[in-house]
Amino acid sequence: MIVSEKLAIRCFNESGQAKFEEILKNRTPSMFKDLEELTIDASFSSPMGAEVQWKPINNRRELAEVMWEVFGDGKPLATKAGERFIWNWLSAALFETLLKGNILRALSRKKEEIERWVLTESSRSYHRHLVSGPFFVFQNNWPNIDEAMSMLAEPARVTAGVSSVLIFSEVHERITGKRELASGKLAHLSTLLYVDPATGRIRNDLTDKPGEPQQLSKFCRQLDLTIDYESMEVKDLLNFLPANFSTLVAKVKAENPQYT
Amino acid sequence: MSTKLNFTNRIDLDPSVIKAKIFPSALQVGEYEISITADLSSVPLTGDFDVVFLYKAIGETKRDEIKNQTGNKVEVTHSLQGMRKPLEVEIDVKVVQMDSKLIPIIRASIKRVIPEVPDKQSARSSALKTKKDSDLNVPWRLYFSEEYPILHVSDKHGLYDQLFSTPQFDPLILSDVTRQIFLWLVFDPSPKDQYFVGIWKTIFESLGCEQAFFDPLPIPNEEDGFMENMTPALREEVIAMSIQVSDRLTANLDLLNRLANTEIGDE
Repeated sequence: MIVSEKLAIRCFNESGQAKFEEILKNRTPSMFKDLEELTIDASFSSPMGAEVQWKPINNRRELAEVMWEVFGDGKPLATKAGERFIWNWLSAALFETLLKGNILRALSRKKEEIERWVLTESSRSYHRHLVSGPFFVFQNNWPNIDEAMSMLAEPARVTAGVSSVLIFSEVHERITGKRELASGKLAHLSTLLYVDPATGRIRNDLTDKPGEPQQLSKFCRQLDLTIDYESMEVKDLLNFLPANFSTLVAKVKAENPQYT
Repeated sequence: MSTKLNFTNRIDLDPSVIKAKIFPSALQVGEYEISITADLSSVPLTGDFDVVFLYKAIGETKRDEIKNQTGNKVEVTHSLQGMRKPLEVEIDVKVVQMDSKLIPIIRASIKRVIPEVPDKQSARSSALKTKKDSDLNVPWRLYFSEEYPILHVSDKHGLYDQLFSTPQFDPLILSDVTRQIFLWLVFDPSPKDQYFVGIWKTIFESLGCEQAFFDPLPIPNEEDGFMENMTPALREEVIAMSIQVSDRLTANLDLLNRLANTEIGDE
């Protein structure tokens, strides 16, 4: 089922959740049809009394904006945003749509981590969920979404015909995976460091380079022992970064004269 | 009340100085608030300081600050509105003071204070959680990925139910689980859930293990692990103690009963 406009939201029960995981693990050629039947079968889920107003989605930010209209502050399901069985029903309902109906891609991803589609309570994989993840970033950083783009921007390289929502870059992984980095000043700092303001995408070739996201994560973990970095200004944090960040910091300052 | 200085000169606050409670909001249906009382008399401070509260649940953090404090006792009530899992919240507390270069230095802190939540207390009352794992190819394996121990038991061919009913479960499995948990507490530098750390330390102490085994090692090297900072003799002593507590626990059925299982979901 390709969703084109309204989608009435439901919540899986235990059986629905188990069935969803089974379909994902087995990945047979009939899986799109199996998922469609699963999501509308009243014995596997119950209605939540709210709708997603769907539209063509190009990136994680757009997906988050659509979900915000349902789960955001003051919206119909605001107090249900932590219910993983709702997010997993949405995963099932949007699976074919986000894959753009490409069954071959779905079948070729048999070993894809199930946490991409099934939201678990594990802190190791919670942020990896493709449908809820962008919304969680959005909610954690509302209303300063532009400052959280390290977790929402498209990767430097996109594959033709594949939604960038499905591509989880190393920057996404490193920043969203650390609760300390995923909101507030550190999210802003990571956005300045890793998002190219000219393209709005993640900068090219960050992996294995000085100042790459894993190094930021380690540096902040050390800093957290002695300094309350969240109360510092981003400009001061930029100046605080060690020498291995110098190339990136120089780039950020050239792009943002207000931080020099 | 004890006061501990760690290797960064920051004071590690004793958990007993923070009292916190989560309760339903009277103003907003379905929302929650948290009240916190912090007794900071153990922190030798002169001048103003800020107290920072971080409310943390899986995948989210909310921050509140009390600025320019001077007294020893801090009492606050904050809304947890907008948090997806307000009843799962744990609290980090930092006492912060600006140094002469206006850098906000953490003078004292504590992580993962667990607030009082009536329904949650019973859910957390066991020391060892178990999980049915249909993908596990060995009979059982102990994981620490959630910052506390979880015993995964294979459910292939109905093994899960069989294993728990076998009389060999305590001597064969639980004794080795205990030994592994002891080594995790002493050797593994990764973050740990203080609730479970507290329970297991109490258990090990009641089995004759001295508190000193759990004291932090000097200058931990995060990348190499704490093992690199131990002398071979100390390492041997820890391993010997892990075997000793494991043996004693197996012989002590009363204590085994305290390790009531809580299953945390099927796969």
